[in-house]
Amino acid sequence: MITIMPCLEMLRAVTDINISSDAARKRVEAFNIANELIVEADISILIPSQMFERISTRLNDDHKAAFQTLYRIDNSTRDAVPKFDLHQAIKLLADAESKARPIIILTDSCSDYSSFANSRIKIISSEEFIKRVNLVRYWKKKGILSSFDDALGIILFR
Amino acid sequence: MGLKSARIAKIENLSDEEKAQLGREEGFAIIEIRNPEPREEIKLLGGGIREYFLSLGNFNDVEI
Repeated sequence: MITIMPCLEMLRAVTDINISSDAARKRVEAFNIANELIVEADISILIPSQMFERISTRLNDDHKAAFQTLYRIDNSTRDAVPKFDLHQAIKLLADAESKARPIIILTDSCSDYSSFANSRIKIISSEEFIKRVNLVRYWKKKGILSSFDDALGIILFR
Repeated sequence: MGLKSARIAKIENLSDEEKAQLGREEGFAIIEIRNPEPREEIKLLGGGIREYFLSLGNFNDVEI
């Protein structure tokens, strides 16, 4: 099982009223693929509660209910770090989560998170994520994979 | 009616009747449960997750 943690710019793009740039479109596409992987593979999407609170200002009650049931909203860093220090919240949560399962931090600010990376925590941009998942999907379509999950893990963490 | 939960499902895992309702044999769907009279609704996730969220209403135009 792999955990994907999207950073704020990803969720900002998804919940923006207008998608105005190619970069934002890529972020939306990457987040959409992450959602499809929830059922296509053994993937879950983890969102620190601080980040959810930030995006909640854009959401109505139905949006919130969908977020809270589609994704894992994690409260564990709420009192551990200042409310709006998302960077610290992501680090604490990624460190803890990585001890249970490998984690992908999905961000287009890879350099901001590069110090978090290790063999169990991978920092991937939206463009790279799309490319790698599509490669594994292509192999699956060609019937050359014995396990989609294993291939996904290898390609995402290489 | 208020949304209580949403789940993503592969259409190929749905019943024949549900596939016929969606008009698709493969792809992704959203399974919703709504209240107050609990019932299940199935929606095609054709345009992606952002489109699904937009089907629940517009986002508020605020900076985050």
